[in-house]
Amino acid sequence: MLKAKLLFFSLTILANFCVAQKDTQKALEMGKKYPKSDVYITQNNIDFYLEYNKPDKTVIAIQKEKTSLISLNSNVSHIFTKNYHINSSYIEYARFESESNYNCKIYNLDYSSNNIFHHDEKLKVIELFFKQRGDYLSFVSKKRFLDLKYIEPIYLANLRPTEEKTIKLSIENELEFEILELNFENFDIEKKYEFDEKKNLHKYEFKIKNPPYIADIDDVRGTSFHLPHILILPKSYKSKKHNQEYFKDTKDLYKWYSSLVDSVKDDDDQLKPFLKTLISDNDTDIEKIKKIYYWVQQNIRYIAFEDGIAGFKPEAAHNVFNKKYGDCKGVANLTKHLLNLEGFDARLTWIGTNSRAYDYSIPSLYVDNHMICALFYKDKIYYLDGTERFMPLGHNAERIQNKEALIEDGENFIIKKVPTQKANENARTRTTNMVIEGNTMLGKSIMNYAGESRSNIKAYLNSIENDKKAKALRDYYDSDNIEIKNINYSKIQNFDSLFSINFDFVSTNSAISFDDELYLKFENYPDFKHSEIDTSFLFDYDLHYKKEIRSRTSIDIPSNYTVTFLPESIKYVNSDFILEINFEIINNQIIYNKTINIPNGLIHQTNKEEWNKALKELIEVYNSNIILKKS
Amino acid sequence: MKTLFKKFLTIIILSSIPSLLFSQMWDYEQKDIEKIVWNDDSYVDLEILKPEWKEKSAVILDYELIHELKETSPTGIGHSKLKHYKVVLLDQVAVDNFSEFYFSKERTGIYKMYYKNFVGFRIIKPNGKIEIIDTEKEMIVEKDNYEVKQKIAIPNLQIGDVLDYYLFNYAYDYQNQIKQWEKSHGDYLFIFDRFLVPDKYPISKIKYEIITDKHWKLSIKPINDCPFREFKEGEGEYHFISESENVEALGDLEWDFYYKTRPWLKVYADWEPRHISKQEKEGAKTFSRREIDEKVLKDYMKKYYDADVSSLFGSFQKYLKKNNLTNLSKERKVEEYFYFLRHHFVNMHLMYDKYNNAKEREISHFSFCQHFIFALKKMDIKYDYLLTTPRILGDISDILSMGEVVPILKINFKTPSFIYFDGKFSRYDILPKAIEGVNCIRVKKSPDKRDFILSDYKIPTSNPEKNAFKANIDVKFSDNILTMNGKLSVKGQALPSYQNYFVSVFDFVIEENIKYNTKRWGDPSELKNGKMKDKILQMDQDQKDEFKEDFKEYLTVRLGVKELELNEVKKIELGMTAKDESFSAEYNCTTEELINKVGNNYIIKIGELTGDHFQVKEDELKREYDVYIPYPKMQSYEITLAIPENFELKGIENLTTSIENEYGSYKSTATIQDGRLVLKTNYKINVNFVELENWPKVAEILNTAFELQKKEVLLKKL
Repeated sequence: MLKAKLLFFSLTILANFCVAQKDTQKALEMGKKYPKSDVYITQNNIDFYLEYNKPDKTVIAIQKEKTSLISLNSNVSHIFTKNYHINSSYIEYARFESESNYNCKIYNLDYSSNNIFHHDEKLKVIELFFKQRGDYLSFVSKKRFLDLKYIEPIYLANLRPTEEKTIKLSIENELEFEILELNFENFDIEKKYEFDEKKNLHKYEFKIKNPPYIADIDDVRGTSFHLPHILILPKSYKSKKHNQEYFKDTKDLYKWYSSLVDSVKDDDDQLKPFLKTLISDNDTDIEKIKKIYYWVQQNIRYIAFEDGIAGFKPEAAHNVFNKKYGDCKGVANLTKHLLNLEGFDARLTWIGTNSRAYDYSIPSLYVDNHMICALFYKDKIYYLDGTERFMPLGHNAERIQNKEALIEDGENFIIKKVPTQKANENARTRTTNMVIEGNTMLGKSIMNYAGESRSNIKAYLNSIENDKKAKALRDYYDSDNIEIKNINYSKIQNFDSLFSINFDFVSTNSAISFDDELYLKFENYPDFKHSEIDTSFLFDYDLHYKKEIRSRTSIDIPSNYTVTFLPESIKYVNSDFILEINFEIINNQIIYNKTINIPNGLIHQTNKEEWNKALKELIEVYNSNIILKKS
Repeated sequence: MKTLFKKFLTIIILSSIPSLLFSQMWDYEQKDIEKIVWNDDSYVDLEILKPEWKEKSAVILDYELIHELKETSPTGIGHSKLKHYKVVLLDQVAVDNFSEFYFSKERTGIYKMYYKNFVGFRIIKPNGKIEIIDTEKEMIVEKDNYEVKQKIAIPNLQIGDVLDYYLFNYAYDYQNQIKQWEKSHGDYLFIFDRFLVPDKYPISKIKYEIITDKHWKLSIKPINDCPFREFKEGEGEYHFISESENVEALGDLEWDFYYKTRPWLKVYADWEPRHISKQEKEGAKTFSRREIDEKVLKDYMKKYYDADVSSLFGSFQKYLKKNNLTNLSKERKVEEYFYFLRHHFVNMHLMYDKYNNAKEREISHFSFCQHFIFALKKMDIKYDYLLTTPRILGDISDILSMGEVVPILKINFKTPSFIYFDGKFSRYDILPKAIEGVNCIRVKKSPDKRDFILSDYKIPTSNPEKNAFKANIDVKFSDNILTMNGKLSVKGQALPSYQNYFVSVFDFVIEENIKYNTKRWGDPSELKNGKMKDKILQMDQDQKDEFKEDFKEYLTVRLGVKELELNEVKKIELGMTAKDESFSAEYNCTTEELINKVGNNYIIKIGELTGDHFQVKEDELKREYDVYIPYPKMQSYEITLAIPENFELKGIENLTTSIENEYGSYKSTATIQDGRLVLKTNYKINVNFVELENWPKVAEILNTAFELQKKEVLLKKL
């Protein structure tokens, strides 16, 4: 008996020893496979229950999750977060299941994005620390949704490489629902379903091996476009104990939105005196609209002290006006009321930005994440986003173009698509002239910005203190070889016209003589020099907006020189980008033209290799020289 | 019983009376504070501002700082601090910056401390309307175990508004805690203010006030043209006020230190249970007596000067004997003792600490010195202590407490040696760069050994040769790729950053244990096969991989390229012993960058191999403040480029340049020898301090080096 016990004991130790060895081996193996990742998730299981909760007298959802991972390197810190809204969900617990060390912590944080903190959105932060490669940690969490409306999409993907992910759903039969399987087609996902008659439950299981992962990439537009995920759409719950209605269709969704809007107590009397100071009787309609729209953009700060029903209820217009800050809902509401007071037909409009892949055929709160104001004026609809900066009337930010807008229309609603703009409406053009002086080139440049490129540069300048703007711009265009002088720029506050910057510059070490030859560097602003795409990631590369860059550089040829070498022209044209570079000699000047047009604002997966190839040639041209020879 | 009760009641009543009598700022409620600060409701006449200030983002119209330091009861001391700002917002950036505030207050410490704070905001509109912010309503408060976090968004703030706000806090301490501190630290600090006068924005009017009572001996010193030169009496005999106007904005740091170059005020309060004299009180109004309080220094040194610990000296002598080193000169023995102590206190434990992911062992510098002093006494070597403070904190005469003092042991050899210990990479006779060239106070024993003699001393600055970086790079060009075989070595002040980045405990601990015959903990060759050995071998491999990655990243940055293939790298020296004073490494790498094909020819950016230099632009030549360079340095490169067959090299005449002045030099020569370009550069900065008017001379050297870095040569096809 003792021998048997000893043997068992030894075998257990050996088994653990083997497991430990296996983890290190696995860590080495996965480290080679995923060199950019510090951790590898060996298992991620989510159990999701939708059930009636007697104490709360409502139908709730519970999400239990377990994550096990190993470290692929030594001294690795890693953070996981679980977000929740204080009014609609909370984390019941998050704890380590395995033995952790003193550097591992779990704590709460306010959610913030772009330096804006959100009052009611919180994060549970799970901070991990691994001492050695192959070390193992696991943690569990339980999240409770107080209302099924707020159930988030459940992704069959992770932020780090994963061996296997399993999602199990258990849904009471009393619930009428729909499950949408999105982006499943490109992935091998095992699905199971059974109806548990004993427990009266619908049971689903989704399993994926090696699910896709996105690791901290800013250049990917919206996970909902690419990653496989499930959207649970509750429609109604009917039982003897409880009846509850959700969103059967978009009409129900709109009805709920509308009820929140109707509950807002606006006091327009507080806005009237202000309007008298802003608007003059002689203003045309368009002038009035612009004054209101531009005033909101310039004077209402975006501060997301969101308060109220998980951030879905707009703030009263007069409150936003009085505080001079608000979130997108409050700002949209203020814009609407100001315009209504001037007799314009302005309405609240819900919209999902281009980070959301859904449209309003899906009755879910996750279709939209933004609110703007739609103005109906003379058979045209203007989309007014007061959270933008320097957005002229008639232009729309890239993030809402081609997206469905859900516009209030009393008890009904209207769905319209926001028009798309072309890349040339965002053009940045540059005209430069250079003359050679010794081994330097002296030049003058004029830059013009339109559309999104204009908004971006203005927003940048607007974030710089008054007395530091000129220096900031100089530093922006300065480089090791370029020194900027005499910089001037047009008025930032002018919304409607092109934004122009002009300056003189000295480009040192850009005309090098070797015997009787002169080697010229001609490219001072190498656009896209560092924009090569990592083709190992499976997603479209997001450039954030449709771009067009056009530049024309002329270099005066000195009288006793002739051109003996010009770099080769290049031209690439496909559905995602046009890249064209050419050189000419006209009237004793070398003319260097560059055009880069990205009509979609994206490089699709299918065009990534061509993009990288084009960039490589582009960089070769940038690094090349023009050769002049003394005649 | 009744008598006892009466006594008890009497004590209760009597102890509460002082609290009633001492009704001061800490007793105030928020409304009381507001009465003090919000006594001027007027807007601002922007015309009174300096013209150039109207272009600023914001201007502080009024800035008041009040410290109050009082005995609050027979057992307690309270410190109140009130800051009041009145700021006019002139652009959107200022509106954004001042529209959100974050605070946190902590209740910390093992002793009971009462702590309170509150804030208040109001806006004065250009039309004179005043809006008081309801902080109770607007403030969002979140509580943690030990922290209370508050944030507030200021409503209705616009360009042109004046934001008028204050921050008040109060802390209370027990008197006996102060006594404890004084006993153990040699001096007591309660109010300790290094008040940097300029702010981010220019200040129109500024006022500094201190209120104490008869129990405080106050010292105030204005430094670096601080405007608070005179303190007048306020309300009450222990109330001191100084005011000034038109203080320019702080400005960004550009190779200088705020406490060295900007005006600031040093404020110190000694707590005196006895009453202070009228004379002492009046001294506080004008100037400080506390330059360096000799008594405080001497009391401090009494504890440390002769303190010695013998524990390791015997072992050291055995070590010398065993290794036939007993005939070393005294200088060499002292040097060897430094490394011996370093090993025993820190390095020998590093493997254990690393394996267990524990914090590395530490020994305080003073404790280290105590062991050292024992040896010096035994070897009959004279020594002094030097008391100084890092440049970033100002001058030694500006210190407020002994906590700011860095004590250095000076060994009085013919050429003095200096001892400072701060961890595993510490080196004998190398001081932190932050104290090179600084003034200090030299402390030596009086002839009768009963007292100390204090005198001024200046710590020497190292020379560039002592802080040298050397690199040899052999470059081959083929098929559009540059292959480089390089060797670099670095020593002196430049060494620590390389060691911290590249040297791992696995590189030296085992060898040191062998050398000093100490336990070879974690030595894989001594371990039996098993989990621990595997783990240690894995850790060793991990650090080797990490080193390669780190070195690749270093080279990438150094050469100014994005892509580079590091084929091989090897550490040659570590800079860890007396003989081995440099870190050096050899490497082989390739890159396609640094070459441009132009027709049949190639441009090679050879200058990029000569270091990473700094350019001083035209508008940066004129400075407002002196320059504090980290340390004197030298960098020399020797680069050889084999000229491929069928090519000739053009442009080498552009690689010759030279400049020299009293602050340094830059020299570069290029020749062709045996079919190779030989490019030699030498860059030297002789000083760690430059007066502002001489900055252009240094800039000339920097720009010459930068220019060379941008030079290219042409490989022309024959």
